[in-house]
Amino acid sequence: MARKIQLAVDVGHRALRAAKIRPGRRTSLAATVFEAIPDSVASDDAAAIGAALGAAMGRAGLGVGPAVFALDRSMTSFKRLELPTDDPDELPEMVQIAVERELPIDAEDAVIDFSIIERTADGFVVEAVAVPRREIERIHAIADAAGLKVARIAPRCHGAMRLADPVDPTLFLDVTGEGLELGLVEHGILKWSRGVALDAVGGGPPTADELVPEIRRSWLSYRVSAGDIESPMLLVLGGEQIADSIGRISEATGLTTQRFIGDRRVQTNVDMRGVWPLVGLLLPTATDRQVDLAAPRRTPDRAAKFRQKTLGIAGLALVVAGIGWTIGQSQLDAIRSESADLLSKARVGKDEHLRFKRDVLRADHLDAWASVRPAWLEHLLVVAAPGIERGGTVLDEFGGFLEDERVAFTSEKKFVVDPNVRIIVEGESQSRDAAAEVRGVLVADDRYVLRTTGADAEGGRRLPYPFGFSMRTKVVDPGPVESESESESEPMSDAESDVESGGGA
Amino acid sequence: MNRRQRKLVFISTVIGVLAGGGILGWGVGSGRLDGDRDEVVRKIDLYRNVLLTVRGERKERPALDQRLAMVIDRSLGSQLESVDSDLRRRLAMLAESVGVRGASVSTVGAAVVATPAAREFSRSGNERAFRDEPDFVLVRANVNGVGSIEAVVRFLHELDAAPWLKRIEQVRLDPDREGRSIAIAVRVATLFIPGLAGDGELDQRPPSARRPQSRYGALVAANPFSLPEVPVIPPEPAAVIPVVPVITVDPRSGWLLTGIMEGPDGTEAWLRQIKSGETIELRLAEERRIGRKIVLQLESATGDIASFRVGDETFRVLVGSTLDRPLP
Repeated sequence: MARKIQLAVDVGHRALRAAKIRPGRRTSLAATVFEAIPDSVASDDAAAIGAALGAAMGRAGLGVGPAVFALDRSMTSFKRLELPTDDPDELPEMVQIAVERELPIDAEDAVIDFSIIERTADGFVVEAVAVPRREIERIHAIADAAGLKVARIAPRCHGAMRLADPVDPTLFLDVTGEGLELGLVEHGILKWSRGVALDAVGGGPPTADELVPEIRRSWLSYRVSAGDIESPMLLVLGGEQIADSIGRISEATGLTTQRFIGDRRVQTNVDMRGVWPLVGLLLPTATDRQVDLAAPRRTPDRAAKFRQKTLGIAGLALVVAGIGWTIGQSQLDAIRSESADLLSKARVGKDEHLRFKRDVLRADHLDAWASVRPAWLEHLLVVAAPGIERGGTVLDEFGGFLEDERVAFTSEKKFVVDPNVRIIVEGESQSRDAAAEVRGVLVADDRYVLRTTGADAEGGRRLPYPFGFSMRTKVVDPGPVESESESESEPMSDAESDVESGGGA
Repeated sequence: MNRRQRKLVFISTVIGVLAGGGILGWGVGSGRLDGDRDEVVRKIDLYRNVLLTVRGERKERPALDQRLAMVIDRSLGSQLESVDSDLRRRLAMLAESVGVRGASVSTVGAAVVATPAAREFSRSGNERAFRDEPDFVLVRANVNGVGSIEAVVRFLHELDAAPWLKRIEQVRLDPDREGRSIAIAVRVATLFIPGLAGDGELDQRPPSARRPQSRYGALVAANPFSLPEVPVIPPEPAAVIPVVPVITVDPRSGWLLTGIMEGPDGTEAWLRQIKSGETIELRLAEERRIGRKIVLQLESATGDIASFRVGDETFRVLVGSTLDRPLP
């Protein structure tokens, strides 16, 4: 935010004026300067004038700093223009072209600026101000010599304009001591102005006798050119010597006239001679309404503006992207932290999981192993039953073997066991028929695959017809299904049912 | 396009660029664009899944411990030494209590049984220990003795019903000539988990017979190994038997291959002399004289086929065939 300018300076041809304000809720004057330029200082010696200005300000305790420099109305040209554009960026070039046509001097020798008065549906109404470049250069030279920085250069009448009534038409008369400035203000806008430099006889300030006719002439010429207008009130800004001429001025202009004695926005307790317009220049106002001949408005370089905007947006986008990256990174860090925390827990949990899994596999393996429980007495019953029922048969040997009882683990993650039971039977019968009948009964039993060993021939040890069978079966227990009443519950029985087994009744 | 529209377009563009930049930066920073975040999220899901699995397993742990305890409580101990001792003691006591005479009990060396599901654990890292951890140890014992049909049936029934964990893998019943006395040979396997002992109340557990012993009463009464008693008939006067020329018989025709078993000392071939009922168990490379001139040697035995050597001759015999009928 730019620092508010607190110092205004007006370097005339015969006098130096300056005012310094103290910013605050209500503007107050810190100090003022109103001194005549020493006779020893040549009017065209900007350095000497600047030195005198610096000395005067030093004596007044104003110090140095950025300052608004005021220009006499008599040095400037004002032109009201209506410009048909809706792009304010086009205004500087349009104003330049419009004013240059009417300038009595070369465009290169003039400095032109403008203030926007009004924005209409068709465009802008602006007030252009032109001043010879040499005057601007003179002010810069004086400021350099005085140790001041030129913050802005504006017409003095713009300061007076801001002291006028913001509603009712007001004609202000600023008696500068080196001439006069007249301005008609309506609704805060300077509608007309005129500045006249007057040199009294002998080189002193103009007298009332010299001022009043000029005031009358200037007002009447405007009145005639402007036609029927509402009579404004005449407000006189000036020193004590003009106070006695209020009546004459009123009489000469036919306007209600009063002397300016102060502004409610400004608190004064210092000598205010000739500095009220400077105070007006320091009062806050909209930028569009300000004229700055030290740095007049220029047509913006659109390409540069575009580059600036592009770079600005790119920079901003970079910053936003950085912020986004930071936020995203913090989120990523958060979930990484969560992941690390879960990992440490999962590592502990994995050992527990492996232990559990291992124990489950062991329990399933044990169940599968225990599920294979051949019932040899039941097999003996099956083998012996035909002989017992028919008679005439005796067993010489009974052998039973459990084979392929290893437990396997399938791709379906199940434990399976597919045991075989092999039975060797040797016996003898009284007759071929008896032996054949025994074999026939066993062959008819679908649970067994029977193969006869040896020849069907005589030669038994106890009975004449020996026989031998080799039997195979997948049935581990060929007996009837176990009942609850017959046997106590087997602890493994539940588990056995869960295991896929090729055997079991 | 008027100034207001241009301004709107400009503001929209700026907002778009800033939003795009912010989203792009956020996307890169949060790892959404290069897949970092997806990888982390995938890991989080994985770890959560592990933890949820573990949580579920903790609930199932008591039931699993109970399953294992049921097995462990029925084992004969936690060390080979004690299991071997207890197994011998129980088998000998059972044989003696049921009337099996001359019982001999021998145990075969223990076999460590690994899990068939070893592939469920990797060979590296901490899973290797679980992979290599044995499931249990098998201890086998052979019981031999002689007893009546009733003693033999009681022995088999009560052994099967005994509450300790076991499996009867082989049984051989070989009666004498009259069938009153039956030689019994049984191979039993039991298991234990090293280091895990039961609750010590095995002897208080009731037997777990699948069927009542009375079911085998008819079998005992009929005794399929003996001929029924027949009344003695006075011999008729001996008739004059004409003298017939002596025909030389191959002694191998009298020997029947009755079985092939895995005995305590390795593979055995069981043979029985058809007329006398004499039995022999021939181990690998063992020689035994049959008849006067033939020395029989067991060369190999697999499944139902045994290979014998007599002199320079080698022949294979199927179980159930006499030795004079070799396989082609």
